[in-house]
Amino acid sequence: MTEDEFDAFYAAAFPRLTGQLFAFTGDLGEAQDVVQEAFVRAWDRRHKLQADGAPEAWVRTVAMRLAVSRWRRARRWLELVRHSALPETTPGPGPERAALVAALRELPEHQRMAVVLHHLCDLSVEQVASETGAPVGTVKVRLSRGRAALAKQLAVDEAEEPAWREGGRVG
Amino acid sequence: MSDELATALRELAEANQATPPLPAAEVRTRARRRSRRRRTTVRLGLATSAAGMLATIGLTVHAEEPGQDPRASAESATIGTPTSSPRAPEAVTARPADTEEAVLDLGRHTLTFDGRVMRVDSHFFGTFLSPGRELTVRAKHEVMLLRGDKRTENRYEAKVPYVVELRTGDRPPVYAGALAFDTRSLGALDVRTGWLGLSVNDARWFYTHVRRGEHVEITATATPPPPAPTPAPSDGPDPAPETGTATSRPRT
Repeated sequence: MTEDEFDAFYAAAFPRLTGQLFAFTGDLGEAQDVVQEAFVRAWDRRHKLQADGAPEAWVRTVAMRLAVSRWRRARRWLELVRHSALPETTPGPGPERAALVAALRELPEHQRMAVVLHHLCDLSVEQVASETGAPVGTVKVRLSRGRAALAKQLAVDEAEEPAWREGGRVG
Repeated sequence: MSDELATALRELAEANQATPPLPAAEVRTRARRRSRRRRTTVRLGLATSAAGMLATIGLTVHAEEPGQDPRASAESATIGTPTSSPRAPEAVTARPADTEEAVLDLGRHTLTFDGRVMRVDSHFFGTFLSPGRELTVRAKHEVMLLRGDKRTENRYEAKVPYVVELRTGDRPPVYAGALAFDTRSLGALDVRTGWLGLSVNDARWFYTHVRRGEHVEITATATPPPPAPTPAPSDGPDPAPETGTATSRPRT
């Protein structure tokens, strides 16, 4: 992968990945940070990424792992200073999507990652299992529970017209 | 699969796509800077470990005879075939962290390292050297013997001094060494093997200063090819007298 190819890949994939990571983190600044960092790491292994044929998937996986790692650090920090709340540094989503973001944030990490990879990034259950290192059955359970939890949250928050209804199953 | 959920997530993601806060060039610069820092840290760590081990040995064993050069045996062991005994990485001295990476310019036929620009013979670049790739210094051979190959009816042999073995992934090696021998000996190498012919002075300087694990970036500046096909010694910081020539005279 030449410099020009890397630059083109960066320009094309960065916005898309930021959107996906926003769905995962619920924080646009955080999403930008982890995607940026993943691209910095990608430069060193650009030749291998190109040979593997899925550089965007690699960057997304690294960005998600970075986000999880940051969450865990932030949670530990919160436990230390549990009497003070985290300052809100980035603007949140518009009111029409705030409920979905809030519902996603309520999901456990593994469920949220499975939901985003499967329903947003169009990865099959097997691919999600491969990326997350979990058995296929476990991924199916996470997806099922994640969808159920989202439906429940959104039904409570938007009783009149939920953003979506739990109707399908993992195929 | 829940189409409603997928649609809602896609809308959410699309509404929150953001343009990169940094230009791609800055991302590359950060990555290179970090890579250099990491290598320097490793070198310093190795140096510290080596110094610690030497101090421990010196304080506890006292077994070394005074006046004996510990490098002597290692030097003689390097004489042989390319895979005989690459030298261990030097870890005692580390260059500053802001040292530039080595760059092999296929267009200009130059190898630039640590501020020194060296002319590179253009005839044996190998088939897989392409811009954008990166070579890694895998080994260093003070002397490498190129044997004749009966299958290719190549009966020439040559000892090549100051050879640095470079590789990219699991591909065949690229050797950078002094072009102080009959270049017909290069026929003994695998046809896919690359060869970067340097002057003796440049080869010695490169061999001395480059370290295992360092990277050589391949670029191709679009310029007319240099008029002189044979490499010439460059104006580098090496003041040592010339011990060989860059002609095709076989080295004995």
